[in-house]
Amino acid sequence: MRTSPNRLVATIFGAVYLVVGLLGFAYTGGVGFVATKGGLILGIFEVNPLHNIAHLLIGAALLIAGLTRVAAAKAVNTTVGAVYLLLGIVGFFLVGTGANILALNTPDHFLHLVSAIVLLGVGLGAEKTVRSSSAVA
Amino acid sequence: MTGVAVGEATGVPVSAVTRAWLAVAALGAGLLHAALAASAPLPAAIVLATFAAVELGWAVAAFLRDRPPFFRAALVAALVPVGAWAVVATVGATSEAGTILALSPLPLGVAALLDVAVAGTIAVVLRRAKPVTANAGALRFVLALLLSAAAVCAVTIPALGLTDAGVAAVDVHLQHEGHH
Repeated sequence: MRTSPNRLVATIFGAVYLVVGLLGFAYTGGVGFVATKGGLILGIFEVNPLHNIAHLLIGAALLIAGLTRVAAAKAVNTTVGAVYLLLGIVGFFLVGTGANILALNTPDHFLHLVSAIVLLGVGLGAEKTVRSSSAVA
Repeated sequence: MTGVAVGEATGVPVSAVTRAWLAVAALGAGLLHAALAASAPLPAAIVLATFAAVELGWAVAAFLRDRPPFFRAALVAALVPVGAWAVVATVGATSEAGTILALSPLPLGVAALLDVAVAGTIAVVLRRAKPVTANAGALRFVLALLLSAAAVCAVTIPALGLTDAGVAAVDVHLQHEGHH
């Protein structure tokens, strides 16, 4: 794994997002499932239960892909990175509106854009010769 | 993967770490120019949208391809938005109708800073023009990408908040709060 940027990033980000997803439930007691105002993880990152579940699913997908094959890690990194980039840009304009069903705040956007750049960067820019049928790294 | 790419038609080696930094910086500048274009007067909007499209396209291409596209030309092209801003600001300051001065100066300044960083990095690579490490290593590449992304987002996101699009988002937020 240490020789594969895609597996390294997928595993680390997957583990972190899983922990954040679990930790989020400690801060969202009494918060509506899709409430636009949520609880603050570490007093910084705003989340609601839907946001926590999204973190858990994304973390699980990244971790599983990172622990299996380079091709899987590359595909999941690229996909999640693209989704985060879209969320980082679109979500910026949803703050405070009824459409903000993930209770996003500015620190969330920072985290999403950094995640998007790193995930897309390794997904698109690293291990370009890897195909879906490639061997395990 | 993390080896050495060669600047297109230049023969200049460009490491994957450097390529990642160039792509991330161009992406940040492109996002800012796109946000500024959304609320700029039409002539300025067209120019800013063109800058954004070129920067975002070049950033994605730099990630996708082993060779950063138009590597030598990018050195000059990265400085075009800076020059354009300087010219328009000078003209606007000396005339009654300085339309572009209505745009937030900080986001324009941050975008210019990122463009200068891209141009500076390309200049250093072209000047150095010597073989770089054949394999940067997975961890080094990932760390470089992470630090580049954090640094660019740290200046880009506050600047995005100062664009009219960002201010509009905050205004909607306040109106929304006011109804409750």
